Amino acid sequence: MSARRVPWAAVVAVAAVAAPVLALAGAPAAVRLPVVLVFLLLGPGMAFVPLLGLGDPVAELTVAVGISLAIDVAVALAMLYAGAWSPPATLVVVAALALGGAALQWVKEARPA
Amino acid sequence: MTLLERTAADLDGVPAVPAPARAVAARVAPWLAVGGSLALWTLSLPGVQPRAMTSLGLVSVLPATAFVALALLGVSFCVTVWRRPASSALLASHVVALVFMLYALPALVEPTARFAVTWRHAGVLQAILDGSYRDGGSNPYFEWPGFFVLAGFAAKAAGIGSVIGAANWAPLVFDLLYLGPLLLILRTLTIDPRLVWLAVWVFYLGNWVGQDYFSPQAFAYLLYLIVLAILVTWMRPAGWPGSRVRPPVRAALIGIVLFIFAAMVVSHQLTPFALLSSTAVLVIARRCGARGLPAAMTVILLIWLAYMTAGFLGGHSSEIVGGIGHLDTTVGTNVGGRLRGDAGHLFVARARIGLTLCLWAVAFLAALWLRRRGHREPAPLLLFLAPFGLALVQPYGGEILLRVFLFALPFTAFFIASVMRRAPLPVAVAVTLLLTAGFLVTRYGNERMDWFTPGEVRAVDRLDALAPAGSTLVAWSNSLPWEARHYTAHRYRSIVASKAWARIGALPSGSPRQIAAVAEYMRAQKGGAFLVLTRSQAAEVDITGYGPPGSLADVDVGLRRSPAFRRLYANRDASVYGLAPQAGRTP
Repeated sequence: MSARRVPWAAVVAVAAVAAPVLALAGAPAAVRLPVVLVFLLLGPGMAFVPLLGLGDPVAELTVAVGISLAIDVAVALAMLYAGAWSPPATLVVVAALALGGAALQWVKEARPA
Repeated sequence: MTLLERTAADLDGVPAVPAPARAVAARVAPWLAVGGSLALWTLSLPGVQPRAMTSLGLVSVLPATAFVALALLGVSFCVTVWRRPASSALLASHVVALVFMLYALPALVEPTARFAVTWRHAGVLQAILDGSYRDGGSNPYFEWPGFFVLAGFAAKAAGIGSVIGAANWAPLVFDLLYLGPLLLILRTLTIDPRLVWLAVWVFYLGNWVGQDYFSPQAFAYLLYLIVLAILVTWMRPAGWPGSRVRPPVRAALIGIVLFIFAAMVVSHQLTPFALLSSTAVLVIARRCGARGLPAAMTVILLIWLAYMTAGFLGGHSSEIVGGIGHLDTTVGTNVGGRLRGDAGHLFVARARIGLTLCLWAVAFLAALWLRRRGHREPAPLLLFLAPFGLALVQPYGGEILLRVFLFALPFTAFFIASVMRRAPLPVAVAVTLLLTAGFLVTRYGNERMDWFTPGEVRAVDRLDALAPAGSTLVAWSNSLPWEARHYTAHRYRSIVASKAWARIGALPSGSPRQIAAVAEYMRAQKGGAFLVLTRSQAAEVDITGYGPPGSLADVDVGLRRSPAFRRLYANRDASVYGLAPQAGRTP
């Protein structure tokens, strides 16, 4: 399946809600671990990368991994240096950014061409 | 419609002649080879006994069936590349199987995390998470905390209790993540998809340096590959072949490059310099149209160095600046310093040097050969050569040549694959088998001292429980699973790395004089000292030549007999000692 055919905005939005909910609820590791880790690896990036229209699925996923990890590092480091260190809160902030990106995708899709 | 036309239409999409069984078998055979090699590999490993390892490392305990599995996969991959229409799914399945077999090997045969430094990284991560890390700039881990903060955040959010339990899977995860950017980079260098997959194959067979464990450099290398992939794919100047993107998208990609670079800058000391050097080379050679990138990267780098790492850099300026231009020192510490130890270790060390030089030489000659044949694109050769400049600046604790090898590896692999692609199939198979054997020997050649038993871990746990905060924990050598708990609560020292080693190492192993010298060294430590000896340290002493074979067992016996020491804990693989109270002194 092409990465362009995946409804990334919806997938990211669902993952951005599911990951913090599972983490805050202390869900069993078998469910929580894959959802949270895959979200942190791809979610924030795939919230924004489809806006670029790169086309190639390998390219989109690769750039998305780079953006996701950079966002994760930036938010986590900012929370640490701000004295507000809390992994669940950090996850909520990252998820909020991802939801923002997904919303931008919806806005772009809804706009007449 | 004529009868002929109707018949042709009816038969559209259906082979006129039923596919011969041989053709079906040829299509299915490579899939069976992938599945068969994975199954054979997995079934071969439960019987592996790490305790039986010699100084050649893991290769000495792998059963013959494991080698058969790797050979089967290698032959199948070469035949698929040479003889069949290239199916990306099939080639990708071979590569993923290879990555699993080569990089998940320790996770499947060893009981706990390998590499002493992995345990230290777990301790650093914990220290950062619990806030005990602000130590005034003496420790570089705390000045470049990006990776540790990310790993700690991800582990806590995902509900992973301890990263130690998952650490042996890190190489598999990192190397699979490297695949995406590698494909992007290589696709810009050739239009032949089979050459792309062959270069990826050579990359994984050649990545012996083992920098993909749970570490900041493994993370930073992923970011390095992603940024390079963006630069060579979308940043080519106007008029050059390459993917075209609209100006706003290009501007966004430049922003993304700088953002990813910033994440790299806060995570690792060396990798940003490697990326800066490669980017600058691309810009100077007019292969990157974003001409302001090197300046922007330099500003980001300098801001972090000036504001966040000033404490560390101020205290270590002579070590950092002192290496500039001293290539002889770099070669001495990177090469000469490793050529000592027992016969097995010497073989492994020479194999590492030989393999590295051989791959570099073949790659360089292949680059010249391709140029003569009309391949004028200089980007791959420039990106192959750019990391070598780092060796002129820093010995990097005796590891700079390993890192140069890693940064240049995608392009080394591309040039070697370009030559292999033009060779007959039997030659390609022979090279694959040779590289596979070379990988196993060079990558896992130190495994006898790099793996740890549960007994060793229990002893270190006991040491952690016994030693009060502020005490000094002493080991004979460096290879043991410590520093994972209470990283900032203790001082960690190894005798072979101390100034006292010149005297202690010169005395007969386990002799009363040597034991007295050890006691004197320990009494000089602050906060009271505890000594831990382990199987892995004994292996390190034997393999790397810190003493005659078996000398640490003699030390253990000497310590047990000495009235200056008390044995506080012991099991089959480790002992923990404390100093006995001296007569006339308050303990």
